[in-house]
Amino acid sequence: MVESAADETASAALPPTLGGVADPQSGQLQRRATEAGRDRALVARALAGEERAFAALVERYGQPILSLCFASTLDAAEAEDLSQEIFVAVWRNLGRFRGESSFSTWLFALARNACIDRSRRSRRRPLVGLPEHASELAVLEPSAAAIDAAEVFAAARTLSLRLRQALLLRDVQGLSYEEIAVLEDIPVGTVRSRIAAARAALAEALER
Amino acid sequence: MNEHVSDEQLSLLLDSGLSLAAREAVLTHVRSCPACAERHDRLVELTATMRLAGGLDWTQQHTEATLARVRSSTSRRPQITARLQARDWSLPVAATLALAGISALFLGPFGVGNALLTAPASASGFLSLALPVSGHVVLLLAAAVALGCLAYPLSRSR
Ligand SMILES: [Zn+2]
Repeated sequence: MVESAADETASAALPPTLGGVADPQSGQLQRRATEAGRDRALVARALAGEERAFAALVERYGQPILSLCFASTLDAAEAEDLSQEIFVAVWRNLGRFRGESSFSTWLFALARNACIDRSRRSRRRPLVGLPEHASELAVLEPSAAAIDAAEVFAAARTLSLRLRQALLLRDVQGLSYEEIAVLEDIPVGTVRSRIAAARAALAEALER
Repeated sequence: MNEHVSDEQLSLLLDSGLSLAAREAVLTHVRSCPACAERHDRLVELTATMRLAGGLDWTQQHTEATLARVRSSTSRRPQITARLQARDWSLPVAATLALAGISALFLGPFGVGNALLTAPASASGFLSLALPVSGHVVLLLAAAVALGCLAYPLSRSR
């Protein structure tokens, strides 16, 4: 099933809004409609019990979901766990997707809520420490940057979820402002101000 | 530009998000203002550090692990949900039909069927026989309707 998912995804490229390619507006709208139609067809096939159709959806949206999860949790293992949890929830609730919005809009809303839930839960328990790969990086690249990566990640944890997500989606996951706007379902102007506010807050936190 | 550069302008400068004119104005201010130059350098360091750290990439292993978890967590649930949502009335209708069938079986030999065999041909005689039976029928119909009413919101809320 997993092997056969490859041919599904070969033709189903990452949505243009999440792949970083900025088309002229009319072309982009047309492509978005095509993507939405293709997603709907995959959902219908998944609902009919075709697992490889669901696998194609997982492959197609795995990256943006993982990016969002990592931008929320700042922990690789937790982000992977959370993204899996989100797809399990998608599978369970697929019948509820009525096609009123695009599948990606529905999926991203579900993912954002899952990230909020996880963030609330993790706030209740004490922080275990720095994200593993940040501390690893600090050891591997001690002189690459004047600021320690572990320190930056620790400071980023103190930001609000909204600011943290915007900042990390941009600077760690490398998404464009437009891609973040789609993922977060907010205007690009809001993305701009959140990233700017997050960077300023982080700089201030590190100065102390 | 006499005023200090805003956080958003500095941030957009890093992301090449300013127009040429705006970029030139911001850079001119930053070059002449030590405070903004320091903010700028700090942000450059910060973003460089984060970009170097890099994020997570979705791999085939992630897909496989996710699908394994999906398989183990639930089986065939979406199809059931979809069927319920596609035909919301199927469950109450099925329940009502089942009850009607049961009631027909129950009443057939002992009630209506039996009564009709032995009933006199006159309408008044039939009515008098039908009256005691109608109590059961009404009760069963009420039960069917109640079950249908219960089943309908259940099928909707899945
Ligand atoms: Zn200044």
